[in-house]
Amino acid sequence: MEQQEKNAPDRELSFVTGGEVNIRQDPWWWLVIAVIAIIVLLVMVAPVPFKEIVVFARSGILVTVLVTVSSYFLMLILGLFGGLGRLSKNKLIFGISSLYVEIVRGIPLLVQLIAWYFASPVAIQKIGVWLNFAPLIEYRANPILTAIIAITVCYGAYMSEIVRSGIQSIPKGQMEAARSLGMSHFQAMRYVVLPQAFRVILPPMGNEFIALLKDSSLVSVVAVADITRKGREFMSAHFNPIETWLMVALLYLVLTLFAARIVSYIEKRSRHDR
Amino acid sequence: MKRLLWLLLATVLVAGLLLPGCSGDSGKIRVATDATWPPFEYVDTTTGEIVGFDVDLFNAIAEEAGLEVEWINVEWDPLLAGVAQGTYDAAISSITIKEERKADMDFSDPYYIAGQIIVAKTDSAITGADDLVGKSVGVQSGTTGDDEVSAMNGVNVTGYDEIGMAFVALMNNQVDAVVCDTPVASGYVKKYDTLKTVGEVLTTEEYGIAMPKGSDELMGKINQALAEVKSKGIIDQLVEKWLVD
Repeated sequence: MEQQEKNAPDRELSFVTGGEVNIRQDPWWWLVIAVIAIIVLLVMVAPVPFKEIVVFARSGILVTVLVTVSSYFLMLILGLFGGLGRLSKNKLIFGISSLYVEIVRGIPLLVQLIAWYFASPVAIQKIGVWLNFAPLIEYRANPILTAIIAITVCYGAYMSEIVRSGIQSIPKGQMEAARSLGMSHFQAMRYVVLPQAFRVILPPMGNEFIALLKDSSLVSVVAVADITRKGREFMSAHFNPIETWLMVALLYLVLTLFAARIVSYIEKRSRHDR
Repeated sequence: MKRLLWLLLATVLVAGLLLPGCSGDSGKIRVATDATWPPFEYVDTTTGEIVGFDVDLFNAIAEEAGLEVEWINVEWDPLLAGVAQGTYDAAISSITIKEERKADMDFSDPYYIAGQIIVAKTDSAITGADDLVGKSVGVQSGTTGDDEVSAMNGVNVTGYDEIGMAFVALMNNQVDAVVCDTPVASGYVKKYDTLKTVGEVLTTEEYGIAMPKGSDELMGKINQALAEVKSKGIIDQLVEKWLVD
């Protein structure tokens, strides 16, 4: 009861500013619905092969979502530290984070994936032989884990730059005012600068999510059975490439369009806080 | 909200830590295949199982040799790299025994003899390998078909990651012909009226089971079991089951 009363003005406010999801307010939801409708239509009109493809690719959809969501959250953390490191006055921290960003963002994700999956086990096994440590000698790369690490490291570099630009976009006066109120540098960053920077970097963050979701299709080269790999397997078993890739494209489209709507919803929510 | 986020993060991290626990069982041998090459190895799309001639054959060999198999389904180029490097204990994936490959991996005794054949559109004027001069030919990169066509003079080779993509290119007139293994070619020709196989088989080649260099113990077991399987007539049964229709 008390809780409700406390929330009441909040809800009214959000109603006034149009915070809630509503097809009328965000007509792009129709696009998501349209793509889903096309999939349903194809599945109903021609169950062979479209229904078979969807059923077969189910596990692939789960893998794609798992890889995307895991590496997205991990790369946010890495990007936050990378971005703060790029602004550090400590030469060592600045040097390390800059080196990381410059090198990693200069190498294609596909090349990084292959390196992580095929080159890193060899290096780890060599170290194991050197230390005479059995678990390391017998080390075998786990495909999904390797894929998540590779994507995290690669996207962490892009994210570092986004975080850095977001923090730099906040006027210096904010930090100075917070410091003059007696906050430490860390407190000022945590409670004053980062919350404001977050709002600035929200759109590029959402963009990164969608880019990551699409790039996750590259993990099929390191033995991860995602949607793309499932598509290849289906196509080769039934000799029907055109139908298969049409359905694979539609499945990705549903995921990315849906993610885009969620991002725009979060953006709206964070806007009315201001 | 914040607590939810932490919870989510913790789940993701725990999942990440638990995942590697699923692999690296020492009792099993890790066998790689690129299950996109019917009827030798492909995924049965109703059950999701890897099936085919090679799969049945290797399971028979493993039973004979008392080995437990963990199947790994991986793309063609990473498969060859993975065997060369010891990521996988063995690979059976219609791999042709070739001198160049022997530098990086060891092969078992051959278990099947196949060949490369040209596939063209039904209305095409191509009648044999000689007509390919000046034409563009689609292949799967890194296969023996690729090597065969690349060795011909005056032929434009277009390499695809996947033999299916080469066939799409053929149907869309982006290439004039495709060269691939006979069983795969007949699968596509049967499916599409617009395609036909052309001329005689270009090469004969032997399929073998690939293993990393120096896997002498496993090689001995597999060759012995393969000989047993051959003498029991299992290979003939498998040819009957998968390759004759």
